[in-house]
Amino acid sequence: MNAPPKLSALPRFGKLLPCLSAGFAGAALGCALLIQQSLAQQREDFETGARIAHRLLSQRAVQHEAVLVTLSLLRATPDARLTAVYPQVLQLRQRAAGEIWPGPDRLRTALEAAEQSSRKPQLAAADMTTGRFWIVMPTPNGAGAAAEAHALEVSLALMVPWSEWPFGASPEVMQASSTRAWLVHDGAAFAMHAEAASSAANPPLALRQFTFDKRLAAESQPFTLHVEQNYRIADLPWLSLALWLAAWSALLASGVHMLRLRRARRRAEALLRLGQVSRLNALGEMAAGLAHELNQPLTAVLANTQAAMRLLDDDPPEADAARAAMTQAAAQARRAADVVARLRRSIERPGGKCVTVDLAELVRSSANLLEPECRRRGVAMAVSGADAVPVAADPVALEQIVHNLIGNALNALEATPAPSLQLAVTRDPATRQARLSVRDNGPGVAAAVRDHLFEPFVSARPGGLGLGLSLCDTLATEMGGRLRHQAASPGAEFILELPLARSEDAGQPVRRPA
Amino acid sequence: MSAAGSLSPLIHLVDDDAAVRDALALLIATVGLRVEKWADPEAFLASFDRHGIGAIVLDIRMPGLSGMAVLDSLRASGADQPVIMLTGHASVDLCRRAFKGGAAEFLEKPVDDEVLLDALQQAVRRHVRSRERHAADQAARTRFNALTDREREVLGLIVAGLTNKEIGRALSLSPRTVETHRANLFDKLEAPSLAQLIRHYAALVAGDPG
Repeated sequence: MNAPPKLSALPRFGKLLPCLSAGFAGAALGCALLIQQSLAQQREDFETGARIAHRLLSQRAVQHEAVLVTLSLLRATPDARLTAVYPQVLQLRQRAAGEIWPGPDRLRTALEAAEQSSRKPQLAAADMTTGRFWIVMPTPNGAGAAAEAHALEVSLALMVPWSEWPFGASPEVMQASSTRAWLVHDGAAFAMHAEAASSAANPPLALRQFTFDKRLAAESQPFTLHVEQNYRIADLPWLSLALWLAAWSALLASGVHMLRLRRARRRAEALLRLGQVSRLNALGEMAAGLAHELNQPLTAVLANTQAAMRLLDDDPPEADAARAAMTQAAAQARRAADVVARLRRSIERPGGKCVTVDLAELVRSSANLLEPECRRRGVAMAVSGADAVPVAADPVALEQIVHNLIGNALNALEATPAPSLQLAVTRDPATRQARLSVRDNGPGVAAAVRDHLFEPFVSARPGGLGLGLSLCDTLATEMGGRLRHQAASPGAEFILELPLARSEDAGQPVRRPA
Repeated sequence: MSAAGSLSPLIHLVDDDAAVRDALALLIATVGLRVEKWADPEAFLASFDRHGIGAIVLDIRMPGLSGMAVLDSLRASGADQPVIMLTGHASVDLCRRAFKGGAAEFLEKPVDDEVLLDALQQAVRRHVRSRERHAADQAARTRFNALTDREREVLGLIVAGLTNKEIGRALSLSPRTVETHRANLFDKLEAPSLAQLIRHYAALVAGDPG
């Protein structure tokens, strides 16, 4: 019992699989491109920021040298105003000729050592844990302890104000963007960012890491700027990805929907055609059977009556034999009548069940089904009228009528230039009637046929069976409706009138057309 | 062989519908033709008199063996009675097949008495003529077979239009001997004139291998 659903599910899945994988591949490709782009963007931003940081630090370092050189050239005494202009300069010191540096011994020996080595500004006593260093320079016209010398202490942390720092306006912001920067000297590093206690123990999960290393452009301050930035899961372009996936699924869904719709429409068309063909086949079969069934008794009637005439013409007339022949003829005539009665009984429809059907919806769906056919024939079809018109009808019969009327109109429009077909569904609450008008601008119905339009075997079309309209009329009458023809100029108009559904009578609210 | 001698033509009427069969039989009988009715085409094929003079009326639409199939078996078995086909719904295709199968007539039901009876009488006449011609052919062959070889040679040359002298030269015979052979063969072949002789025996001479 399980086999049939499995069997029917398998081909469906088989058809779905390539669709699914193609859909996934498309989604993945789009995501990859978006991530790639975001990564490239962030790398570029990082490198720009790092270059700016390096330039700012280098500028400051050169400034320190310039200040020191100026002081020693002018042999100026340190002035407190200088530290106000340069906040990173913590203090200034001067050693007069022949004197020693003031301050603790360690600092003095460091400054002295640096002062001896060169006549240019020199780094001394760099402390990478506190981020402080000195630069020292002797006056150009002296040497050693005999000459004067100047020194200034600089704070690394204050070298670039946060307002100018490219990686955020505060250490916290910088850490939030997972950027870390160090100044490195002699294997020791001073962190420019706020080193959170947790960040070392629990390094942030990085998908990709960008790094930057460059020495500052001032000989006296040989620090290397080292910057790192992590590309984290949080940095993925989540919004773009979500938008892309949404758009892609919407595209796929609409594609699948359209495909399904087209398939459904094709199947419906095929069914419709099949129905018509099988109906015609059945009709042909019936006609052949009917011909035989009726021909047999008719043959007997004719032969018997003609034999009887010959018998009566004999001399002397053979009255008894003639009477027997006539009796036979009468019996055979009755047999023919029985055949006709049986036929009528067999094609009598068992009266379809009348339910509430929306005529407007049914017309729209029929028109929709025949729309490709219209397009193929270049017929401009327009459906107008009310949104919903509930009628009491047999849906199958009603569909047959509507389909036949549209089909007839299409056939009538075959040789018409600029063919157009107008379907209008209206209601007349006064007479409680719904009305469907099918109007074409074809050549119209020939006058000779006009009065017999709804009789069987009357057709204006060469090769037409002449059963369509007669069947439609019968069906409409059975549903308590009426089908009539009205000449239009140019063309023909067929009007189907049907009683509105009873819910209308009960006063139930029904949507009114705008 | 029992009915072979009967000279009165017999119509075989094959139709599965009893009413049609009876009515047509009655109609045919009014012109003095004998009718044999058959309800079952198989029974008809198995036991109808193939040697009698007459015709066959066949309904096409029958359960079991169709009229067309019956026609085919008739022709395959060499029956020479003309066949009239009857059908309720004639089509060009059906008609063509019937005539290709050797039917003499193709009539549509219901059939008018004049048409049917005319067709039957014509068919019977044709059958009688063909049987007569056949019988005459048989007799001529018997007589021809009674000739000696030399007489047949002479006959061949007579038919070819040679004079006695020319025949004598061709066969190295004296004109008198040729004259004797000639008289003998005219006698044996029961030909009253040269024209009759040529008409009845030219075909046999042409077909004679000797």
